[in-house]
Amino acid sequence: MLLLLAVAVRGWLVSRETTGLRGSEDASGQEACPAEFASYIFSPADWRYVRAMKSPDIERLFRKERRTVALVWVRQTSSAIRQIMREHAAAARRSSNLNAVTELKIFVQFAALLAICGAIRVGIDLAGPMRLGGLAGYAQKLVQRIAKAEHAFVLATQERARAVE
Amino acid sequence: MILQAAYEDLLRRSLSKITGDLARVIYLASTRDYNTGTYHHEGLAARYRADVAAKALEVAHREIFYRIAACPLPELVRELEVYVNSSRQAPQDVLHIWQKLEPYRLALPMNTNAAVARLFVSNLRVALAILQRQVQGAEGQSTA
Repeated sequence: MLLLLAVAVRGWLVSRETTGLRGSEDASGQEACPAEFASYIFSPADWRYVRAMKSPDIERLFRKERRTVALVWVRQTSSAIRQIMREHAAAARRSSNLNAVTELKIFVQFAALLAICGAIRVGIDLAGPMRLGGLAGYAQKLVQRIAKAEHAFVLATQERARAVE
Repeated sequence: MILQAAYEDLLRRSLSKITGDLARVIYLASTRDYNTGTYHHEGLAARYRADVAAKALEVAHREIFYRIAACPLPELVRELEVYVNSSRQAPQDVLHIWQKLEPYRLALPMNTNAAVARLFVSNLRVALAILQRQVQGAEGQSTA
């Protein structure tokens, strides 16, 4: 438990260090991360190429660099999930016919996604990003699916509000 | 339609003469004004309009940048090697300057996704280290 906590704190500290590299992820105008980049960032292919060189210095450099990139991706993905959550909450407040069970399911999905991002962050420290391709790909797909569903929900809410007026 | 024509013109006349995507990205970034972020290409602007030429340059820059950012490390090392060998300076000097000043940071298109931008910078750092090791190895062999 203590080890997990230490790793989580270390991951948080490193992700703070990468804040300056994030660019303007919350600002408008920045492009979304193309889906294929998630599988590339977490892919073991480059790592295999680097390892074949048998150079500890280059291996160290690669691990450090790819870890930073992976943490930027996790931070960006978590931020995107929070943004979708905020948008959903705003749309739900405007909606007149909310279904409590559906809302609870959506909340659980958001919470699960944030937990996956947390697990990826810890996994990056424990095992390195090269072993987390499956989990990162799953998170990416889920975020895309939720974003799409959320967009449809917002549109439907707006249409209903217009119809009532 | 006119943008498509300008874009194809750019690919045909200018970019096809440059070897390698890395060199193309560096070239396209160099057509961008540091202060305004606007792209400019004399010949293209004369054949089309200045704003159309600027947009074609921006589109090409973004497209090639994303391609190079996603290219596997061995391929990036080859791209870097082609670029370094095509310059008139000694490879060791170019590699040294690139490691110290990281001029490739200026090659990022505007509003690039932060993770993609960081991946590009990271991969180039690693590719530079790999190429330097290869150059040093080759020099060591030739002096032995």
